[in-house]
This record gives sequence, C-alpha cells and structure tokens, in this order.
Amino acid sequence: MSEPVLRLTDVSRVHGTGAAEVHALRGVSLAAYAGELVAIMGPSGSGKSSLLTIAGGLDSPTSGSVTVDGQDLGAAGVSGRARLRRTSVGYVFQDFNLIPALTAAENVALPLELDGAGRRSARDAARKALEEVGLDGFADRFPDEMSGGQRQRIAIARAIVGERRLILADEPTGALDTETGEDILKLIRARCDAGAAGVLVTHEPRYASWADRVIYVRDGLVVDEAGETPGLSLVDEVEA
Amino acid sequence: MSVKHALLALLEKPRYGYELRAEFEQRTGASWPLNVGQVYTTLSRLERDGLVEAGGTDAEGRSLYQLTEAGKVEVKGWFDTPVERTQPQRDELAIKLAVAVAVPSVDVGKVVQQQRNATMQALQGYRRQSRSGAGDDLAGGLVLDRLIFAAEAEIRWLDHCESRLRRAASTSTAPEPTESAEGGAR
Amino acid sequence: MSGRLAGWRLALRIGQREARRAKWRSLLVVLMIALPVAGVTAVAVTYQTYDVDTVEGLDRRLGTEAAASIDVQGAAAVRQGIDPENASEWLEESEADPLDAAGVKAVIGDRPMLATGDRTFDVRTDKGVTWASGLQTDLTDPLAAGLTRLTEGRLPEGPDEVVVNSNLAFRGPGVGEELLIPNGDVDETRKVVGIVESSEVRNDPFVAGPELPGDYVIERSTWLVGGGPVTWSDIEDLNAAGAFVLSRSVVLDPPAAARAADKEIRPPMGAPDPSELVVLVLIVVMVVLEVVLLAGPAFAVAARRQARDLALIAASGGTARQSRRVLLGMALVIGAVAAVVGSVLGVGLARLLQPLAQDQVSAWFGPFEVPWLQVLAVAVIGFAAAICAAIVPAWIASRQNVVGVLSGRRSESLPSRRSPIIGLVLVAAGVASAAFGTRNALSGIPIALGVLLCVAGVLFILPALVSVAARFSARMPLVIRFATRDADRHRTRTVPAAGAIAVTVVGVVTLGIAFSSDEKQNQESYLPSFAIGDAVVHPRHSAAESDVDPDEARARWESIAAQVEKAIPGATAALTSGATTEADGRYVVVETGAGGSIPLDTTIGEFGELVVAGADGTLPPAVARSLSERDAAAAADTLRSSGAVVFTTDDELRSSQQSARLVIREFSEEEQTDLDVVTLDVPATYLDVGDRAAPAYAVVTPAMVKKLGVEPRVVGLYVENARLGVDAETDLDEALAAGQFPATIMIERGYQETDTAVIVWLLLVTLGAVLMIGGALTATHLALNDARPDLATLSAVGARTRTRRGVAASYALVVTLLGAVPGALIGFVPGIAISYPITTEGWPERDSVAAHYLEIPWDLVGIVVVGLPLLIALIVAVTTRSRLPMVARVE
Repeated sequence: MSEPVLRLTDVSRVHGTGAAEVHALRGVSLAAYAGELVAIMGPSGSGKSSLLTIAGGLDSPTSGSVTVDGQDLGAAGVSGRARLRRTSVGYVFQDFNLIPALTAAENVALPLELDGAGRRSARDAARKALEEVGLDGFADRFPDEMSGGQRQRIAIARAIVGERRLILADEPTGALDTETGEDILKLIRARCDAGAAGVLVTHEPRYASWADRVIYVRDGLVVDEAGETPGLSLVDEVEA
Repeated sequence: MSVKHALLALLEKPRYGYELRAEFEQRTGASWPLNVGQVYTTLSRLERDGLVEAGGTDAEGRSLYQLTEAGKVEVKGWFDTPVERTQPQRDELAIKLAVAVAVPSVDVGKVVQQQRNATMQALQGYRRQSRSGAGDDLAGGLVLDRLIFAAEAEIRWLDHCESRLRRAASTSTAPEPTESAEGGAR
Repeated sequence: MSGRLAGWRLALRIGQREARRAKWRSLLVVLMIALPVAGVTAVAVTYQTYDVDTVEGLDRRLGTEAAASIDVQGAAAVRQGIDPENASEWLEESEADPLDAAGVKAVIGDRPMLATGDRTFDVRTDKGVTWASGLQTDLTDPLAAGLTRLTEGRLPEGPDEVVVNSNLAFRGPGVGEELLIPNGDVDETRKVVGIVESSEVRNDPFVAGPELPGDYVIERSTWLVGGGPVTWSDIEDLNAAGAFVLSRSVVLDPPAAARAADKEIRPPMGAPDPSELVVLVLIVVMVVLEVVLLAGPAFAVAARRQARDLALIAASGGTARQSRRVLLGMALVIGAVAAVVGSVLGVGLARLLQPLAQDQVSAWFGPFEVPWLQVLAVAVIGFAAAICAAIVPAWIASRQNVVGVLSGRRSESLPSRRSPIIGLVLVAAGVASAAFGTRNALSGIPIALGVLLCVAGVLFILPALVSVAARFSARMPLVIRFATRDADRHRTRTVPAAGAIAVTVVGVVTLGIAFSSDEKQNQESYLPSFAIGDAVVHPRHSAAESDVDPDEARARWESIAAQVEKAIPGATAALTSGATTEADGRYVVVETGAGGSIPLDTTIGEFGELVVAGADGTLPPAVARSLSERDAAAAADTLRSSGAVVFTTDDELRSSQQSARLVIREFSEEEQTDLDVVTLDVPATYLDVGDRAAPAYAVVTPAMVKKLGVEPRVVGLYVENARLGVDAETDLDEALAAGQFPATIMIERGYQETDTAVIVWLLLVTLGAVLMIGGALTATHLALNDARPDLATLSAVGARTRTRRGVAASYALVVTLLGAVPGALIGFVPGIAISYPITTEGWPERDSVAAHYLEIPWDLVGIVVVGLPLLIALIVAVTTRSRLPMVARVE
C-alpha cells in the first residue's frame, strides 16, 4: 500500500488547563489514502471537528504527529502549514465561510492568489473549478446573491481548485436540504474518485455512506469503523 | 401480499412468466430477487382465483397471461388502499435489543455497534448500487431511496439507542462519563 | 405617554447592555467624545481661573488693610462705576488745582493715607539692562500690607533701600547687593534689602521702595487710605474733584446708585465682530463634525452587530422607530457617560495643571473657579455629538431588510443616486460662495460658509466615491481589493471615518494655503530698511543726548564704532551725521524748488530727516549703500558741487526739477498754523528710490546745514558687512546698552521666516497627523474586528501570516486615501479663496508688489495626502497581530 495522503498518529488535543481541561482528542490515529473518502461520525462534542482542524493544520495537536502528503505538520511551522493549505489541502465548512467582499470566482481563486499565482491564471483555474461544480456563469456574482447550495458549491470549488490532494469537509451539508446535500457529496466523491483523499465529518449516516470507510468517534476516541476494506486495519484504537 | 399484487399490477399488459419476473426485478432495482418458479406458482394461484387468464401465445410460442375484469378490480383496490401500519412487523432487531438489555451477561453496546456496522455496510452497498447506475430509472431510484432511508433510520435509531444506553449506564453505575464511553466501546 | 416612555425604557436597556457587552468599542466612543469635552472644559476652567474680576483682584490692588485707593487724575471732574478700571469717564476741565492729600481728607475725613506710585524704569542686570516695574511706597506702612509678601531679608526703611522680586534677584541684584538704575550719565543706586513677591507682577522684574526714579514729569497722586468704609457718596465727591476711587466696601457690596452708574458708564460689551463670530462658529462646527465623524464608525459597527436584534424586533412587530431607538438608546448611554467623564476629567485636569499653566503667564491666577454654565454647555454639545454620530447608522438600521438580515444575507444597499448629486451641488455652492468671498465681501463670511458647504458636499459624495473605488479595485492586488470591497460593503462605517479624515485634511490644507500665501506675501513684499547685511547703530534713548556737545558726541560714537568693529570682524562702522532741529515743535521739510511736496514713502529714519555728507562732499555709506552705482556717482557729483540730493518715488521730478527748498518749520500756537522759520533754496539732484526705503529725505552738505542754523551732529553709525549671528547680535546689543552711552544695533538680515511660521507649519502637520492617525486607526480597528470571520477564512485557505498585516494596512490606506484625497481637493477651494483677503495689498502701495499672492504648500499637501496615509498603513501593518488567536471550541 502506498503512503497515505493524510496520517494522524496518536493525536491528542487538550484545551485549557487544570479544572477547565477539556480533552478534545485522546490519541487518535487514522489514515486517508489517495482515491479514498473517509467519513467521521459521532455525536456533537465527540471531537470530530477538532480532528479536522488538526488535520488541516489550523490547530496543532497537544501530542502526536500529523503528516500531509508525507510532510510533518509540526515540523512545517506556521508558514509551512499555511502553504500546505494553499496548495495541498482544501477545506469545506458547514457555513461556507466565503468572503462576502469577493466574487464567486475571486473566492475560488483565493488560495491560488494567496500563493502568488497571476491574476489571470488564477481566474482561469477558478472558472474551471466553478464549471466543475456546475456554476459556470456565476463567476462574477457575490456570495450573498446566491443560494446556500450554490454557496457551498463555491466553497467546494475553492477546496478543489489547483491540484489538491486532500479535501477536508466539516459538515458540508449541515445547512442544506437532503437533495442539495447529496449533490455536494457527489462533487466531493467525484474528486476522491479522481485521486484525492477526502475526510468528511458528518453526523448523518446518509452522507457518511458515500465514504469508503466510516469511522466513529466518541469522547475523543475512535470507537468503531465500518467499511469496505476492514482488512487493511487502518484504524487503531487506543486505550486511554 | 405484495408480490402477488405487484405481479398482478404488472399484467396491465399481457406478458409471459419470465418477462414478468424480469420486469419486476428491473422496477424494484433487483432488491427483492424472485425465482421463476415462484412467479409461475403465483400466476397459477391467480389464475385459480380468476384474477388472470391465459391469453394466447406470442410469436415465439410462449403463453401469455392477462388480467381478468376481477383482476383489474383487485389491482385498483390494492393501489387505493394504503399499506397497513397498524400492526408493526415483528422486528427482530428491536426484540433482540430489548432482550439483550434484560440479560446481564450480554454487552448491549457491542450488539448495537455490530448491528450499526452491518447496517452501514448495507447502506454503503445501496449507495454503490445507486452510483453504479442501478437507481437511474425512476422506479428503481425510488425503491433504492426507500432502502437508503430505512437503513439511515435504523442507524439513527441505533445511535439513539447507544446514547440512551450510555446515559442509563452513567446515571446508574459510573459518574465518570469517559469510563462508560470505553465500556460502551469495548 | 407611558407607552412612549416604555419604548425608550426598552431601548435604553438594550442600549446599555450592548454598550457593556462591546466594552472596547464603547470605551473607544466614550474616549472619542470625552477627550475633546475634557480639553475644552479644562481650557474654560483655566481661563475662568486666570481671569481675575474686581472682587477677586481687590486684595492685589488694595492690599489687605486699605479701605480704598484714590487716584487723582487732574483738575477735571470725572465719573466712575464700581471699578474705575472698568467704567470711567472724564468730564470737562476745571481751573482748580488737582486734589492734594488735604483735599482728600476734606472729603473723606481724617484717615491714615499712604502715597503710592507705579513706576517703570531700566535696571542693570548681570547681562545688561532690563526693564522693571516698580512700586514706590512705604512698604512698612500698615496700609501697604498685602501688596507684597516678604520672602527673604527685610522691607526697605530708608529712601536708598529697595526690595526686588525673585525674578529680578535671579537675574542680578540679590539681597545685600546694589541695584543700579541707569539714569542719564550716572547710575542711581539702591540697596537691595529683601526679596518680595508682588501681588500683581509675577514673572517680570519688580522693584519696590520708598524712592524710585520716575518716568513721568508730572506724577499722578495715588493714595491708599485706611479707616472705615469709603462710601459711594464719598466716591461721588472725590470724582467731582477729579479722583478715581476703588473702594473695598463699594466693590464688595455696591449700593444701587453705584450699580446704576456702573451700568451707565461701563462701555457696552462690544458685540463680537461678525467675522470673528463666524470663525468661532466655523471652528465649533468643524470640531463637533470631527467628533461626530470619528465616533460614527463605532456606532455603524454597533448597528451592524445589532442588525439581527433589530430585525428580530421588527419581526416581532416593532416599528422602525423602535428599532432606531435601540441604537439611539446606546448613543444616549454612551453620550451621557462620555459627557460626564469628559467634564469631570476636564475640571480635574485644569486643577491638576494649574501650577503648570500659572508658570506660562506673568499675572497671578485668581482662585480656582469652575464656570459651571460653560462646562454644562460643553458637556451638552458632547452629548449631542454622540447622538448625532448614531443618527445615520440608526436610521439605516431601522430601514434594513428584515428578511435579508434574518436569513444571513448582509449587504448594504447601493448608495443613493441622488446623494452624489446633492454633494456636487453643495460643493458647487461652496465654491461659488468662496469665490464671492475672495472679493473681501462680508468679512469672510462667504468663505466660511463655503468651507461648510464643501465639507457637507464631500460627505454626500463619499458613499459614491467608496463604491467607485470598490469597482476600480478589481484589478488591484488581493489585499487592497479585499479592503476596498469590504469598505464599500460597510459604507456606514467607512464614510464617517473617511469623512473625519477629509474634514481634517480640508482644515489643514486650507490653513496651509492661507498661511503659505501670507508668508509668501511677507517675503516678497519685504522692504529692507537698508542694504541687507549692513547694520545701523543709534542711541538707545533718543532724547538723552541732544544736550551733549557735538564734539563729545563724536568722540563717544567713535568709541562705539571701535567697539562694534571689534565685535564684528570685517565690518566697517562709519559715523553718520544728520541734521535735526533742537527746539521743540520744529521740523525739517524738503520741498521742490517751487515749494511743492515731494512724494516719498519710507525712509530709514534712523539718521533724521537730513543726512549730512562729509565736508569734502563724500557720500556717507548709509546713502551710498542704498543707491545704485550710477545714482551714487550722480549723488556724489551733486554734493561736490554744493548741491543737495533729494529722494523721491516720483521719477518725473528727476528730470523736471533742478533745485530744492529746505525749510525749518514751526507750529505757532498763536496763529494756529505752521510758520517757515528758515528757508533755503539749493540746487538739487532728484533720485528715484522706487520701492526701497530712502536713507533720509535728502542728503545735504555741511554748509547747507549751517545755513539752516542747525548743528550737524553724529546721530549714529552705519555698519557695512555686519555679518553676525542672531545670538551674537543680542550679546552686542546688550553690551552697547550697558555702555556709558547706551546704544542699540539693528542688523538688516532680509526677510526672516519667523519662528511662528515654523511653529504653525509643525502644528498643522502634527494636528493633521494626530487626527488622521486617530481616525484611521479607529476605523481600521473596527474594520478588522468586523472582518474577523473573513480573516479566519483567509487563514483557513492558507493565507500567509503577513497577508493579515497586508489586509489591515490596506484597510487603513483605503480609508485614509478616501478621506485625504477629496479632502485635499476640497481644501484648495477655501484655501485659495482666503488667500485673496489675506494678501490684499497693504500700506504703502508699491509698484513691485502683486495684488495677490498664492502659494500652495505642496510639501504639506504631499505629506497629508501621500505621506500620512503611507505612514498610517505602516503603523497598522506593524501593530497588527499577524496571527489570529485560535478560538478553542468547547462544545
């Protein structure tokens, strides 16, 4: 088996200290391979979002290591992690997190522009990504002129623009109806089928079922896994 | 029962036995496989009840069945009556869990998890079917959706069961929720 | 009624909570309003304290014991109010002798009396000579108690003893030393026996003693009188006898008659000059506008933060008015807090800084005093400013799209199409008004009005300008695009912030242009008294030497010339003789041969009406240096051939006139007209001096002077090439003043930019910078706070840490440029307009002086429009935290 795109090894995350100490993650290990979509399920507060922020380098683990594309996030430093988010990792949020002051195309082109790409080439790439999510013709609209589903598609276009190897989606369907949610998942799944690795955090079984593997997280621990390839044993449970 | 009525409904146009079976499976997305013997048994029983009649042969000499007037009335009656929900089906899973809770030696959490994994795999199976194009036509799509929704509901219900079990465990035995979480996990 | 109150109660409650919830933002607004309130209050309190009224000043003028002071004016009857200094008038003269002590006693009875007198005279210090004010009285007299306070030594007892104040003691004569008072050739001496503080003189030299040299020929008699109260009828009697009276009892408890007289005689409080009033109103309006605009963005952000609350109020059946009140409620709370805090702070500040302020002025402050009415007025204006700042955001918030807000769509409507048109109309009106004002009409009111119209116009145009900027930003780098678009999306926040900066820049540019133009006029129309780089030395006291023998005077001047040449290496000091009439009432006139007058604007004036040439006809350097070579040669020729050189501004006379008439004229009391005493016709050459100052009316030969019956005498030195620094000049001047024969030197340095010019320039830049930086930092801070989610998103998609700094700097740059560029453009209008009345031609009218000067201070404009925005962007970039604090999510 080749090297996974994302690997979390024994990752713990503690917020606060003393009496206010909260263990968001207690030694989680998981891997996501190219072409694979992994769903993470669990009730609210189970730590599934923490897992995603750490995987995306937005937060750092208290202990344990994270590698993306073979690169250790801890060693990459703040700017290295930022660079990784610009080039390798695409993030999709529940509430879209589009920048209202930028047009759809500019939002999509954002990571490329931040990476120093020329305005024209960034824009061309953005148009292609918008086309991929079925929003050609909406390039110059502002987010608040669009519906929730359209906005989430822009967010997905932003997450897939360029050659992203890893897509992290945090409840991307949370604010959408079932039909629209299915469309969004179809887009993410298509990207994984095209060779990216995907991690999807959700609490809805119907969307989790799009994944190749479904991992259950509870109280900061991976408690269970259901999937097609259990033989690979990609999940290690760690006793606290 | 539904297979009888479904076949009856499909005989709106004269068909022979094998064709009837193929039509049924295609419409329902191959979710409930029928064997040809079962089809012919049903057809003969329907003929006996006067709901269908043999109506000649086709070009290749296969004997065709068609609806009688009584059969047409029966089909209409079936569609006009909602599916009975007053008497819930005897649900093995519900019974299993109910018993498991009562038997101290059984790890209920594990039962729930195993079931959930199984259901999730089934759900993923349905999803694969729909992605591979099985649900592309409307009838098949609807049936597949029915299965997906049912599986989803079951998983949600199992999640709910797990939460209730944990809450019950934490209030009765362990005040420390993390310990009960591990108990539930193992 | 109760319903209305209930509406406000809810609004106030929500407003108060919101103000408390957003602590930093509230604090910002409170400071923004409280600081100006505090500043103005402090100034008002300090002025009130500084201002000493009659009652407060009584002890200073009467001491602690005297019942009254009586000041005899002469024989004329006078009338007065309560305080003769504020209300007095002289009636027609009478033949009687002025009151003497006995006369006073005849009116007010036999009381103790102490003669006092105020004097001013020169005293010698360690460095030279300084001017001192003196109190001549017997300080040991009980009636003098309280006029001075002894801090060291003892009070003078004999006529040769004095006390001085610490200011003078510090500069020279201390206790036990001699105080030298120059008086003619010899110094008078007094023995300093003590150090006192005067009740009236503070930071200036002060001497008190029983015998001081006087500066008046006729002394007015002034007495302090003791005994019982001096009544109003006593005062009326003394007035009739020609004396003014300051009576303690009348001041403290004025009878009705005194009040009536006071009301009648006191000159009416001059109605303020309309132009001054306009300027005052303009300043107040601009300051309030500035405060409103600075506080506005904070309320705009509050309105946005509260948009959801307001939408919910609307959704649950609230009216637009009720929505508005929620925000206005917050403004009420914040405004009230700011007004109170500002007032308290201002009064406290004034009290705290009183010693510091006291050091800056020479008069003693009165007792600490708070002008409550003014303080209240200032507080109310501050409070109103808070309400004004909240009105526009509140109005917009109350009209928001409820559904849009509740469904999370937030976007400001397009700017009204009408507002930029209104703005342009206002600006056009402002320009027209200012243009009208250039004709010096209505004492500048149209220009002031023009400023207000233009500023209002800019505020109307700004929203459209912000939108245009957002549209143009499409091709800009990401951070600028981001900042500009965001500025456009939050126009209610951007416009007042940019407006505040625009108002500042309008002010700075206007004042800058006005000031630079004035300076340019000063510089270009500067009229050197004599050749630049030369100097003139003349007697310090003009009258002091007229009775000195001419030969002795020449000897004295020669020694001074030696002293000057020694002090200024390379300089040559030439004795310059003049002809001045000695007898009182006589003066010299130069006329044309036919007795016509000769037009001439200015002369140096230092050497008298006529400068006398050398016996051999050589031209005195004072004349030679101020003439062209050709004119000088012509003048020398004329003098050698016993002619006079006459200066004029009329070029025609040069060819038309060959002779001049020198006249000694005298005013005859009997005939009430001028009589010619001596008349002398001489051949003359006329020289046109143009705009320059002429050395004198004419240059004459010694022979002519003799014929006029006037003794030529050395009247001063003309120093060529007096290259000396300013400090060295001061030193030399003090040395010359301290000499046995006091003289003073004046070096012509050409036009010197005064210190005030530099200070005003610095002040403008500093004031502009402080206001611009304050406004931009506030707006940027608010914008960044508002944009936190967007910045988090940027970070999530992989923005470098420096991108956040870039965004912050761009916000600051966009807001400052949006304010500074239109502000500068608009500032030109009143600036150019005001340069007309400021630089209109003064006296004398001259050919080489333009009718109008205009100088645009491009460096100032550049600093304000380019430099400061870049500086502010840099400050913001450096001070912004580049990393977003990761918010720990605890579910």
